[in-house]
Amino acid sequence: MTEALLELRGLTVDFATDDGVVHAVDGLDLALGRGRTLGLVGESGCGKSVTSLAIMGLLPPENSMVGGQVMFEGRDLLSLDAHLIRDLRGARLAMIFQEPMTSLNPAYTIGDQIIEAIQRHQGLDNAAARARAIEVLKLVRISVPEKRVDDYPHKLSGGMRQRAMIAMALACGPQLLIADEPTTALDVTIQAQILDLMRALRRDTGTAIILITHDLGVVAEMADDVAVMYAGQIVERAAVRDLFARPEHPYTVGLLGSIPRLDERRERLPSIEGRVPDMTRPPAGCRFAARCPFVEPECRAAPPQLIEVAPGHLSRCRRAPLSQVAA
Amino acid sequence: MTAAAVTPTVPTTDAREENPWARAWRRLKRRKGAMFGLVVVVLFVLVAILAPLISPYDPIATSFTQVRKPPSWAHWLGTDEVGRDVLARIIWGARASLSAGVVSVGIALGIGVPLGLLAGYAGGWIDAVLSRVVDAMLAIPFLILAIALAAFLGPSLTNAMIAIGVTATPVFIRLTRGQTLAAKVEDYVEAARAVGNPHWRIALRHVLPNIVPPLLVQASLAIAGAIIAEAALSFLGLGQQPPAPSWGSMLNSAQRFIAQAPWMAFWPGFAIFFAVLSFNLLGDGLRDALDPRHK
Repeated sequence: MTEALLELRGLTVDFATDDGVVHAVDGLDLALGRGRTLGLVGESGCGKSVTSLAIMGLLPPENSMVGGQVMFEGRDLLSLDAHLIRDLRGARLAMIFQEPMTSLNPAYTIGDQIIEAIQRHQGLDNAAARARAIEVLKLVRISVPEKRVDDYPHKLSGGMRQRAMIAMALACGPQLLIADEPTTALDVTIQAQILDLMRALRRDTGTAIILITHDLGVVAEMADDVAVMYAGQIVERAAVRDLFARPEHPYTVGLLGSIPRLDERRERLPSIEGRVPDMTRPPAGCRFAARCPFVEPECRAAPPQLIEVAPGHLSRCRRAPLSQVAA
Repeated sequence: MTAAAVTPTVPTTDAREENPWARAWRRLKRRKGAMFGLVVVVLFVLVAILAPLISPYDPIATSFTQVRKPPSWAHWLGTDEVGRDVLARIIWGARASLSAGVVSVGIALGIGVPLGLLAGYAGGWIDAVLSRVVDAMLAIPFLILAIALAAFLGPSLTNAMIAIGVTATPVFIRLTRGQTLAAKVEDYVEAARAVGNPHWRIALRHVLPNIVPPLLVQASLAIAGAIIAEAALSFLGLGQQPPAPSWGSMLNSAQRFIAQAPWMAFWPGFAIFFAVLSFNLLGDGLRDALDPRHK
């Protein structure tokens, strides 16, 4: 990997709540090269969405504390002035959200909203911005874009709205696109179309993507690298092929076991028992210990470090590589 | 980019047709009460605007031969204690009442909406201070506060409007603040932040348009309240000053002759009732038409 586009160094996010401080993200190190796609995987509440909001600087300052460094194109976003970050947001780094049904302002046409993003960053006049809006709508394969540009969001289906959201995010040609569960709210056929679209856009525009999802199937199709998050930490990080071929963390093994497969008949899908630990008081040892089938007393004693078990393959399990563990 | 920039297509009318306001209007048209209210409101507004053209008499010209005459062909609604035509005074009085309603609610909106938006969007100590002031003002009964303010400012129609407007402001601050709090956590506001919009733009362009419907409903109901308040202040001598006509001051002078000349009290009372009822019907209809939960 050459110079990284985005590098997270020891990123932490704490939330002040009535029950105490929640350590939602706890010392995240991550690097993403230009034009690469990283899948950020984990179950609900593991901190993956919070990580993306922290990168974008969209966490509410009233009750959240972000620490560490977010290096983007050589600058630490966390130490930049608010107005400088706003200049980058939407221009150099953009985001698409999980809920296409509510992420577009119902008071404006989709064209208005795309044009707003374009004019915010590129200073085009109305006609040129409108032409560019139609162009990006065409790019996301919305049919008759010169007509759809004047439609209000309520007239569009969920898939169409997500396309419009992607168009809005891509309008200024960002270097980094963060997609937070972009297909979760869509039905399966539309999911496939949106993923196809994102793949094509990545190929054509060279935008790096952080794809946040709990769906390993999506990751397998889209990502170059995968980072698996559990309880605010990365527990495993590897190239997508290595991760699927040889998962080196029991949590990843569990996630892979929960994917239904056509070539195997099973009565029940295996699931990972238990729940994510209470993040106001994270356990002293391995955070997955309570749910881990391979757990040993030593696991609960001290927190495991992220270790390289094979070239480019990191795991936060003291028993890794797991191939030596008779399962 | 190069080719596309040359030919931006002109938006066709049918593509714009179903904007949120067109939809609300379609739904409002289906409601009989609201349409009745709207028609009466429009009639009152026309009467007020066209008063010089349609008034049969000068509203302040006295006639000692025509004192307290019951309704007749010459004076459809009768005359008052100094021989002035009641119909003419009702027509001219519509100006005072409607302008009091619109101007005072305009004042309340003009102060209340920006402050409410600020409180709801900024939060923190700004919100805390504004909300306590609002709580304090709302603790005082509406009319008592309006009377006190009007008495402080001195009796005149303008001062009555200011007093009513200021008194109605806290309701709008509170409503705007609450709606802003709800709207600012919407996904589309997050999305607007994600494209790098500054705060003022998010507040004015993304939050404000989405909270207009409840404000509009509240405004139409507040106009009804303001008309009553103006009538009450004029009745007490704190609003429109004699001899200029207003429905409230007409009621005031009528009370002394309620037995001998009941028409003097009936018509201004009827006008107030009708105007207030119409604005309330319109407000209720707007509430239903603009509520996204009603399909």
